[in-house]
Amino acid sequence: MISSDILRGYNDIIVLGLLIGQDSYGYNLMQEISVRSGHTWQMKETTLYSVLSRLEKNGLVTSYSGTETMGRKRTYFHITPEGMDYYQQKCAEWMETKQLIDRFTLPTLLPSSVRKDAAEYQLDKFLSKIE
Amino acid sequence: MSKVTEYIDNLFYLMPRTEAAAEMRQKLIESSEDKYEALLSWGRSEDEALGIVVSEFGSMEEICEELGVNPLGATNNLNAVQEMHLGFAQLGKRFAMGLSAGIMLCILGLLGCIFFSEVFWSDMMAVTSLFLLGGAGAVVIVYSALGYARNKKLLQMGISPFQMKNTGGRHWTKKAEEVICSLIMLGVTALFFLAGVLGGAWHPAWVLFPLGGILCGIISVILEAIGRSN
Repeated sequence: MISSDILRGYNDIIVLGLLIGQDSYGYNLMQEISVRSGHTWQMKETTLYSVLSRLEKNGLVTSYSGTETMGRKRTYFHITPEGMDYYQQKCAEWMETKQLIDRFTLPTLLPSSVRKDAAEYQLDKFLSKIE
Repeated sequence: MSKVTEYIDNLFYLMPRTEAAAEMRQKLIESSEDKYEALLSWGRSEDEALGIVVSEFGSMEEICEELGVNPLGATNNLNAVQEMHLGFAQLGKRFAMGLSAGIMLCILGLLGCIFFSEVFWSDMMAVTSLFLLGGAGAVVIVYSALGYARNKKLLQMGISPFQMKNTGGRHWTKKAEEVICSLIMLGVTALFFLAGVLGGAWHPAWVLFPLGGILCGIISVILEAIGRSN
């Protein structure tokens, strides 16, 4: 389970990333997020709209209303050039963050002594379980 | 109205009635209705669909944070409470200043009236002084009282009225109505005094007051209709 606190800073990237290439509306964005996450995660409605409202306030997206075939009014969102720049910046920031955290979590990147300790710990845990 | 719209309306019931809140409500309704209908089309029952929509909706705290407001009565946030106290203090100060300025003007008008009539024996100048200064005093008092009542209401809803002014949160028809009506009532009062003092016609002149009230009513109805059609 991913805690929403950790994701908080990255909700902007998720939404902006979906708007690149095509404008979209609220429900469609939520569907896309669910599909792309392999149905393991869903963004809450209130989260999505607070993110969109903040992005719009900062000029990173714009909104306009369009009508769908069913005739219901829908608000579409469009990413601005500033939004694109911001997205790229945030992506670079995420790569750096990810590389940093990897150094502390990926077994292959840990120093060999730590790896040995970790392996022994795992073995101890395993043995205590079968005893 | 569908159950989803009703649910969101209930969530927004205690939110301040600002434009941003209304827009947010509309957008949330749009996408929740979309989701609800999609769930129905996938064979879920109405109750199941509503349950899913509600469980995946999220929390209004996020929305309040984004809109920068507190729902009515939910100002347990220390900062917000402090801000509200400050706002009330500022409001009280303004009202007191407006009131005392208005009373001062009225007294000045009265003094001027006595002065001109006793020293210069000029009724014309005395009456002018009474009307001009006294009238200005009345306008200041009425204006500050109206502002106080309105801003107090806003503060109770958790919106700072001192910020609202910059963003122009209110509709122009409401403002126009206030201005026009206070001008009408002021004019009526001036006419009443003029007719009374100069013409000695206090008796039929009082009719002006109910007439002014009716005129104000008509104008407010017209302006409201214009505001709604926009």
